[in-house]
Amino acid sequence: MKIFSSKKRFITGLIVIIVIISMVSFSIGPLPPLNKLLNPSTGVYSIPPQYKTGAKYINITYDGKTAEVITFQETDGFIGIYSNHNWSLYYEQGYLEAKYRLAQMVFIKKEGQGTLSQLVGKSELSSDIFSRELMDCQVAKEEVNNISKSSYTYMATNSFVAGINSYINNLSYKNTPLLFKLLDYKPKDFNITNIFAIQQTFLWENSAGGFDPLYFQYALQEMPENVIKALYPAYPAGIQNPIVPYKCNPEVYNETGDIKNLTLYKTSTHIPVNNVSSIPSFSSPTSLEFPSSDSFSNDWAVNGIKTDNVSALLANDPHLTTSVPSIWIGFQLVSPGMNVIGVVFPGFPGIILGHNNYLAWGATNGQIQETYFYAEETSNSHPYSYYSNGNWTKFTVINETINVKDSKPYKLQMEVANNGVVVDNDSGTKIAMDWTGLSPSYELTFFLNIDRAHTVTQFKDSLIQYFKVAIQNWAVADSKGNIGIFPYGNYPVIESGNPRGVLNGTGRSNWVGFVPLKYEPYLYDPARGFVFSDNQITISSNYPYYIGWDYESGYRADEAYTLLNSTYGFNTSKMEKIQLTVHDYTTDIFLKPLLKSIEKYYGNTNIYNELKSWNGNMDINSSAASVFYFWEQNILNDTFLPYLEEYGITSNDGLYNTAFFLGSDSMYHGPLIEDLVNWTVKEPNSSYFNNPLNNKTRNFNTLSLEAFNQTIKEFNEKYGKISSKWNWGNIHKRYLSSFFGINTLNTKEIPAAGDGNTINAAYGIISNFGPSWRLVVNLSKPENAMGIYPGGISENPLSSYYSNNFIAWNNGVYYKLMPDNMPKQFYYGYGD
Amino acid sequence: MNNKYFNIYGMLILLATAFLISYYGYWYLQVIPAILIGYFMVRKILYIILSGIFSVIGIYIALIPSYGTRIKGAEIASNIAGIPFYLIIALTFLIIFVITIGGLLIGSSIKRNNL
Repeated sequence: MKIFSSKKRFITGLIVIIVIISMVSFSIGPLPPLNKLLNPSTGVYSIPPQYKTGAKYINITYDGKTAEVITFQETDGFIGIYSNHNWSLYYEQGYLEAKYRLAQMVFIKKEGQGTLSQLVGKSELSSDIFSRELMDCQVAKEEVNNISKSSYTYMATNSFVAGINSYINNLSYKNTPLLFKLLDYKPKDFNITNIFAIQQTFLWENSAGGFDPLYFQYALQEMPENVIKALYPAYPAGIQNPIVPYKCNPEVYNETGDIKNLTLYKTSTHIPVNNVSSIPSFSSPTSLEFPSSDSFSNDWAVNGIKTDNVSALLANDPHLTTSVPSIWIGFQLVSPGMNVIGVVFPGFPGIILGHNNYLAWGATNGQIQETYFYAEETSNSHPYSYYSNGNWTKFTVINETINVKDSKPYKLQMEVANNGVVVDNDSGTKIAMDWTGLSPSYELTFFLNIDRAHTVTQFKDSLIQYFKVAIQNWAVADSKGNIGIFPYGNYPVIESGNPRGVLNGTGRSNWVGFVPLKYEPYLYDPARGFVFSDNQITISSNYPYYIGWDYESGYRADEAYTLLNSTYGFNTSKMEKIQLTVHDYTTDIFLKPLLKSIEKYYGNTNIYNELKSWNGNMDINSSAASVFYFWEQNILNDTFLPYLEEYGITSNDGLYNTAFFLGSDSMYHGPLIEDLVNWTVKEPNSSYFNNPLNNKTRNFNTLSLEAFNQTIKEFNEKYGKISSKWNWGNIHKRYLSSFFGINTLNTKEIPAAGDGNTINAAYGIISNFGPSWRLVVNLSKPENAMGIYPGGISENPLSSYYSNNFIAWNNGVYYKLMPDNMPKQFYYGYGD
Repeated sequence: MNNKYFNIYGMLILLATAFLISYYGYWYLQVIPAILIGYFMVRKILYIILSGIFSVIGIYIALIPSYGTRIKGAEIASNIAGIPFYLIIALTFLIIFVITIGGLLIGSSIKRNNL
């Protein structure tokens, strides 16, 4: 019996079905299986789940335990979590962090593990190599082994991880992050070691020093000592207001220290010239927009005479990459004995920066040097060994395999010496990096403790015990009216050599310990009524220990000092006003000399009159601001580029890549702008203004006029005659850059005030770096604390809460962190 | 019943099944109604092709709720993947078109009086 009316048709139909289903069920090139990816319901077309604001009441059951939880979702990027048990609080926090930031957390986890290239391919291999060299996973495992299973830290992280995994295990393809759909990646469970590896990642990213000694080594080798002293003084030149000046705490200065034994202007070792230029080539740029070790910030606290002895107030705005999703996520966490609100990195439990009902705290990067580099002495007659303390010692070898997507696995052989891990480089010299984070530390425990602390003293005690790496200037204020600032941590001490460059690796410059606690700088309730830090130098020039040399310029700090010193009767509004200031302190230094230098040639022009009547504020409607900014950039380049050219600094050596070689941050960071200020104020005819390339005599006036001519020429060419096109807001913009380094996920650019030297900082021309979070707290009424972070709660670019706070944040809006319409449980502890 | 109307009804049914099945995420199952419709209703090549187009329309209707967001998602995906946006849309429609055609060819190739 004939079944088919047309066998050909049947076969054709069957082939068509088989082919199409085969094609869409398997990956084609970089694309994942299309049947899932292009599914109209669950693929790229899927709608993000609705983010419902308001309260939700749930019960959580885990490991035989049950708890009640209330969540309160707000539009400002904050979620409140209340629970009658601590374990369930952290469980829910883990669940919600996964719900709104899963892709971000997975990428951060993989950065810490050194497995990013397994997910995205070869582009992240160098980042993975470096993460392995940092031994994040090994240190994390050791940290986990050391914590007691009955400890609060263990309970919190274990519950937190359980919450994350609960979300992951119930994740449908529809709600899988778009990036994971494109990568055809199913997220794996987290564990406690992952959380500590994430801790290690953030410690590295916030440890100052970085690879600076490697770049600076070239300057030490090639420049004569007098030039090093003039351009790169070991103590910042210019106008400085240290965080812990001698007059405020002379006790910490009363010690011999190590700085007298160090040779800060000579090189400690010689690396063959041919190979020096390749030293920095290994540095590991990940495309992820992490907060970097060059991160800058503001924090300050006031009390006593500044508040009419009524209370203490605190303000903090950490300057990090303003990414989307934000590096922060906001929570209020309420459980027995705790009611804390603030921000945390996704992948961490607790709150990192914020306040509770007794205490408020903030941080700025301490800029303390935490990486030291050593050139190991090796010999062909002693293979696999290095010379140390009179003996040939074998390197400890660690073999790692890095799986790389769409490529064969990479075999990494790491060598570890007693002064650090050898970092991958092309110089031909084995260079070991010692970093304070190569040993276990428990910063996570610190954060969990301070969330529940009540006083500045309790905060300080926890800091001393647990916070060792990535030293921050912690500003703290409590409800009893006390304030303090504590740049505590492990400050390495050596007995000889020049830690500003690469040290001799034979043992004589190895770390002999850390600065004793009693000599670590700090302030507690100073008579002047305020503590503050803006990444300026920590100490006065007579501090006996070497703690680093490459700080922020100090001009943001000078502005803050001026305002804090002259203001009284502080309240929330005055704190906010200071935080939003866009006055550039360098205009107080340079504007008059600039006008004097150009008066003869520009005295009757519009731009001269604009500059003359200008108040120094980097406002979006100011053309004077634009001209001044580019003039400052040009005079800096014109003054110092000849030196770098004279001594052969090229892009391989870090030219335009690091602040002391005219990097993009050199206008507000590092020594060159400080030198320019110093010479302008004290020695406008300094011989160091002369051009070393041709010995042409120059001084401030000639350089200033030359830079101004260049600036006006550039503006005329680019924007035509002076008009609104010259306004700062037309040129200077802010945007939120994709955390994943995917440009298509950036927000649009909007006009922005400020620059790198203003308290309300917006670094660069098109800026994605600035106040990643703003907090202002009056400890007499902490429930009225104000804050905001740019971006939103969700990492999903299709969500209405992806970047919904960006414009408000740019406009200087603050939100009340504890709105008035929350369930009463969220006011626990307030009004006691 | 007039054959022509049978074909039109068949095409409309496939539009509806494409919409429903895709809306709930099982779009590859469109092959089953396509086989059945091909057996019972749509057997001529012209109507088979038109039925494929109707299935595409059904998918399009499934995308209409929150259309802007859905298309934006596809756009972002295409930008990240580095492929043209129109290719994402075209591939989506092509897949449902081919699945429908294949099912109809199979269904219409079976002799009706065997059952």
